[in-house]
Amino acid sequence: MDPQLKRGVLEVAVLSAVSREESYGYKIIKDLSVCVEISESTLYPILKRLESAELLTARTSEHNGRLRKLYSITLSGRHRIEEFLESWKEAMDVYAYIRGGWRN
Amino acid sequence: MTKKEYLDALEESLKRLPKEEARKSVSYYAEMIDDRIEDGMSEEDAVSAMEAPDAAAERILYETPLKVLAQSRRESRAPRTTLTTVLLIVGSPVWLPVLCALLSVLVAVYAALWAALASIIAGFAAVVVTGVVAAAYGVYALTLGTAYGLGIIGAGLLCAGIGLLLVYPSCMLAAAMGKGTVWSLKRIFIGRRHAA
Repeated sequence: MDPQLKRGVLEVAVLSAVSREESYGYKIIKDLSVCVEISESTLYPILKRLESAELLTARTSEHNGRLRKLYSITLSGRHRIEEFLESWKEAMDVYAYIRGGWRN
Repeated sequence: MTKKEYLDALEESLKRLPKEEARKSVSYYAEMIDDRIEDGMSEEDAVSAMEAPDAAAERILYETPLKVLAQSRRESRAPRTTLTTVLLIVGSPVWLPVLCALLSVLVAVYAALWAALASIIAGFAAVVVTGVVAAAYGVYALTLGTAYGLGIIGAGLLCAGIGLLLVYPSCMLAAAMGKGTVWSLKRIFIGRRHAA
């Protein structure tokens, strides 16, 4: 995938992973691996940005004697996913057009 | 690399960051390693599955907002914000002349001390000269009368002697003042960290 494009969609993909259920870093990476490979070093800044934009909230909880940071989506986060789906619907139409004209 | 080695290396690379930021980053990576181990990986595999510590640190630093980076590790002293720096520059027409005035006063006082010392030494030197001149006259006065002449020679020599005695400690005082100045200046430049 084009790196710029990847960056754009990854943020919303992370939001989506978190919107289904409260999640944590490693689980997000595993969940997303069905469609895209993302390293923890890529995920970390994304989580930070989403949290400071208040599209996510985080809380610390105890798990097997250690601390784990759990993320959940906010209302603004859900709106962001909606926006993404809307703007990509248009892009999909354009994609279909380009695909249709591509004889190779 | 063990988990501890990885996290220590990461923490070292992140020392530029404010303590809280660095702590959050390290705990994120610690959590990642622990989750992978829980998933069944060995510690070594879990660590090697991640980006190298310095590469990870670089990525973290680049993503840190500039404002936070500028603050860096200044918790031991008062944090210097951008606002403080701007105020210092903008306010310089006020504090800079005041600072110069204060420095001028200090320099003037110091010069006055030296001048006073110089005049004291000059005074004692004059006493010596007076004594010598008197003794010389005394030699001439011998022609007028032995007792008279001897008396004046005696007084003159006494005067010169006292003068010399007082000049010596004055010169010592001057030398001490000179050494003291050098030491004080050095202390200012080296700062309190290294002072005994």
